[in-house]
Amino acid sequence: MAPKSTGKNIEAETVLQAVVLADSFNERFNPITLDMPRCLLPLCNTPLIEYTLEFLAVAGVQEVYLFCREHSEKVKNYVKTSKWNRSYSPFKIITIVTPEARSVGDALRELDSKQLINSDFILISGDVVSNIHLKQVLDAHRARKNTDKNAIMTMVVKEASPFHRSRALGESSIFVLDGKSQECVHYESVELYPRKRRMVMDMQVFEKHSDVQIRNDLIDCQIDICSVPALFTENFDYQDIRKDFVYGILTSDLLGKTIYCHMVKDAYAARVRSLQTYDAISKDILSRWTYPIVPDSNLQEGDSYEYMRGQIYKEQDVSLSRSCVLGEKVLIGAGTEIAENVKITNSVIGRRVSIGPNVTIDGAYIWDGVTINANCSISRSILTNNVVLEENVIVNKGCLLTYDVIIGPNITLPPYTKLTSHKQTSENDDGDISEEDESGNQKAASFDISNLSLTDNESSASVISDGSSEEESDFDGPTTLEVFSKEVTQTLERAFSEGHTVEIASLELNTLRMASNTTFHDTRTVVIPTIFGQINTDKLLPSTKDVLSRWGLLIGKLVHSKADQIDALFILQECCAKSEIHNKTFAPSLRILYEIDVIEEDAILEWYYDERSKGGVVKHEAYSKLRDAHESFKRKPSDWDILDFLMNVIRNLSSQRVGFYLTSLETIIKTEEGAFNVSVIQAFNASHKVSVGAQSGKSGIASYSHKIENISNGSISVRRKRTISQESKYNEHVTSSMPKKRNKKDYDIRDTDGSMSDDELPPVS
Amino acid sequence: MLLFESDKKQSKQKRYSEFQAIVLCGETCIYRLYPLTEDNNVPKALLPVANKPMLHYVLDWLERAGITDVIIISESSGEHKIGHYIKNDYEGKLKPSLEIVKEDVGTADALRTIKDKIRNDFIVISCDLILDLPPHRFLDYHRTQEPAFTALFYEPNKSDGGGGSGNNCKDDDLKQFVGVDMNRSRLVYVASGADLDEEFSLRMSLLWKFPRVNILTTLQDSHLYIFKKWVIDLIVQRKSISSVREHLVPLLVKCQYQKKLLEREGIDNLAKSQVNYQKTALEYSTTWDEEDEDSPVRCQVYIYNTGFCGRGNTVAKYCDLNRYMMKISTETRVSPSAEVNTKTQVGSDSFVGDDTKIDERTSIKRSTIGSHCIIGKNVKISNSVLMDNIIIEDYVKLDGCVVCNGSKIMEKSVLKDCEVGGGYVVVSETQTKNEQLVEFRDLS
Repeated sequence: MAPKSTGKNIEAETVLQAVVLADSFNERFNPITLDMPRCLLPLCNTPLIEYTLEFLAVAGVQEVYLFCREHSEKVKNYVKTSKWNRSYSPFKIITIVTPEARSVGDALRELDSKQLINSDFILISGDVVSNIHLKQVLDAHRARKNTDKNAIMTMVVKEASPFHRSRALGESSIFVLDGKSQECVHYESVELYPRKRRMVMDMQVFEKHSDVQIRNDLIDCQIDICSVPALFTENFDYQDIRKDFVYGILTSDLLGKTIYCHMVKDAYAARVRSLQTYDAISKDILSRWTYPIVPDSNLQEGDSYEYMRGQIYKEQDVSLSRSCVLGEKVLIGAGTEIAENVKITNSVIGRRVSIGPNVTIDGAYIWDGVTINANCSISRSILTNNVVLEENVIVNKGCLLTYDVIIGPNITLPPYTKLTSHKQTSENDDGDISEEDESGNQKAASFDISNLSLTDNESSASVISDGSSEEESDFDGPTTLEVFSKEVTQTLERAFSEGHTVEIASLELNTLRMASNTTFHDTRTVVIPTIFGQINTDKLLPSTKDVLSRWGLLIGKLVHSKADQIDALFILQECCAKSEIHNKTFAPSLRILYEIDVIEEDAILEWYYDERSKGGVVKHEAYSKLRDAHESFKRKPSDWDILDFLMNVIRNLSSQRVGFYLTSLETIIKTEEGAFNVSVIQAFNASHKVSVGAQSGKSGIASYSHKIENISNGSISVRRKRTISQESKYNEHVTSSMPKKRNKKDYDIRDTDGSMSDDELPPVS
Repeated sequence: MLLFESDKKQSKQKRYSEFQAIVLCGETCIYRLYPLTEDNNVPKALLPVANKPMLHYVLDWLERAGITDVIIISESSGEHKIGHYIKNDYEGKLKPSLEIVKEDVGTADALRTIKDKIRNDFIVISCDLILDLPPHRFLDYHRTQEPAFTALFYEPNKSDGGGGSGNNCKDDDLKQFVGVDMNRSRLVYVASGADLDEEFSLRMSLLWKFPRVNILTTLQDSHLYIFKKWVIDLIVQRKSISSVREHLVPLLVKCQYQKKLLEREGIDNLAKSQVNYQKTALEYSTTWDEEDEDSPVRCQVYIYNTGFCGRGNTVAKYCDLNRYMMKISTETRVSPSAEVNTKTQVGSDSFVGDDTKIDERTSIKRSTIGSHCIIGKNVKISNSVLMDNIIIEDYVKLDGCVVCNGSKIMEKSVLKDCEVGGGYVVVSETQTKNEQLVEFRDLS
């Protein structure tokens, strides 16, 4: 430990450094920021960054590191030509371009890796307007570091009311401070959406602090005095300086660092965070709350503003007509011409603007080079560089017209319209892009104070130059599901062509599924049709068999329960119902799936009784049932089992379909009796050549068959209301073999059910 | 009509009183003062502090406040003793009336039973409160603000330690979270430590209405409130309100920022029913801004941290009260009728009651001795409270003890930080610490 005196000396010798984040890492100012970085946007005709740099110069900063990301060339050029690069500049300004940084955290990590910072530094956003004496804050921070070794940061906050105009409502925050030391003990951000109902913090706070102050009335100026940039490197997941960093430090038990707030009461400090605050701060500057940072201080070289009565600021070389009326809070840049009968109030007019006769402007921000022709009316809107309004254009509140947009004549813009000359960019290759260069239509976020619900106002129509107008619906990007299905299809195709194993394919699918956070159902809806797409339609059945015996297991990997199996069956059904060719593959594929144990009997039955299955491919169901019977017959040659199975089927059947099953049962029984008559079945399955290797039954069957025949004789009728052409084809076979049984109409399956289940069920062998 | 009638009644009374005072003499929590308030001793209101019952100090404070209309609410168990005190022993000018309620009813329930007797804005005060705050300051504060209620919160004075076996009162139970808007002195949040879990949360609606809230954990509720008259109507309407501190106050506090609650409970109508002169006056003002209009319910808080304020609701706090009053009391220290042997030392910070006999070579420091006690030779008493009719034999040492009426401590006993119950006999040569010595009582 060095003695204190030397420590102070060292401190005094170190250079005061400031880090300016010239990028906001958000898109609040879109579409203006498509062409110009936010820090160069004119605020009262002076680029935003100028206010921040001026503030730092007053604070005695000697080195400024300017971080920029987008439009970095423009920022660099600006800095190069500005007064800050001259020999008399109070500080050295170094521009650092971090194109890959996506957040403040990234930028600070970059800063740390460059090893540029060697002591306390000022971290400030490039859009701050303030007249705080930062020296006091710095002194307080240093003094605090002597008493509390763990103090790493001091945040400058300004007292205001919770609904203060320069407090961005969507991005405000609650600071919980120790009532005496101003130590920040908890931080919570308050966003407009989703609306916050409760503020929650840890009870531990009260163990250390008996007087806790909860403040919802502070403006976060984003001026911080920081000591340790390394913390960002250690915590690589910190993105936002407040939500992640401050919150992380305060909630961490391990770090044990402390953060303090410095309360500013009288001075001015605010950030241009959104269009709403842009409006508020502009007015504050015109009302001289920010003194000495006011237009007539002429911050930039070449400025020549004069302050006149009624908060009017006028540069030299402005030509005003005799009859024009300038109300309160008006700022007019050089080279502007204002024609007769123009009324301007609460507005900022840029340089080289030409305003035609009879124009009314209220609460508007008109940037350089704008042309406004006669009889226009503009209220509470922003017109950026080189916008042209033809005659008789009415711009309602909250409009945002960006570079080079030309409007009119005779057009009324609805409130909250945003127009840009940029083409809409879409990720989709074949996305429709409006042919017109002049305008696109975007979601409009209002900057109007009276409408703070922000985001959700959509302008309904876009107005295009040359007087034509066109409706254009908002373009929705591809949904995650679409992206997902595309990727799944690609994965599967790769698997098919490169011959992956089922395991690898299923692993890939699962990874995809988890990555896009979709359900197994979604996966199945994509996978099953894709697999079916592999079936060669020329050699339908062998191909079906090949494909499914190879890839059916993949479906098996996607089903885990009976419900899943049923779901898979529906998808299968839907997929097969799409075309005539696939129709034919339904039954065989069902069979294969059954054979490889992907789908179990219970699921088939349940699917079969589900109302939804009765559409589409109903005709195949009969097939499948019969074939199921055959299958179990084939697989398990015990007569008892077959009967058991079929009885079960019958017991659960609705009367409509009983006929088929009994016939098939009978066919089988006949087969059992040695008749070896598979012809009926073969007829059923003629199309797919299922040969039933039935084996001769022995005695004992007879008695059963007898009983069954009795039942059949006594009570069965086949209602065929839903006869479908194909069905009738094999029904003919059925009827031909048993013509007598088709007459009785009222058959109640339940009654027979009872009797059957009581005495007819065979013992399971 | 009703108004007219009540006016008539008022005129019949000797004096018009702006506030009524209701003194609650219930036993809030028996275990806290156990065994001091058992049946064989005295009710809480009559526990002696510097040889005067606690009730005396409350009535004195009210008298200084200029309040004439005082109602004392007592549970039936204390009826006889408190009634006797008011009739015979009370020396003040007030003529309090005594109302009896059932045992174990909440404070708000008690108010509900006497609702017909409440005609004005009323002060609710607990009988165990002793404070040196000049009453007019608190009343004037209420008069200027005209809130639904004004509560007095205080920062507890540091305890000198000693007294009370300590294990029967836990501070955690009493730790309170008080949210105050310091600029407007509004009470915006109350919760006791026991209600809160690991997380502390506030409604955002509170923070929008009161953007600057100080949550203090150092404050205690003195249970001294001034309520508007309409609050009694609310208590009558809402049967679920049973305690002033636990139900009524939090409800009114919430009404300040929860509009829906206010309307659902019909409190806004109640609150508006009473004419607010200040508001009426303000409405005629040219600078009156409609938007400034606050919720009809406003809860004001007076934070008293510059003087003494304390409640005797635990044994430890009761001892603190005694010590404090012993220091500042201007009453005669040793009663003229007491017989104190000349070879005995009674510290100037101690009290000795009427007809008490103290034998030789005894020393008494920072203690109060009640009336009709007999204290033997070579006894050492420090930091203790001895009530009436106690016999202390020779060579006994008492430190930080509370000895109840009629008990007897036989010779050579040494007790430290003990409570001796009423009528208990401590056998000779007992040596003990931190104990409650209570006679076994047959509960049947």
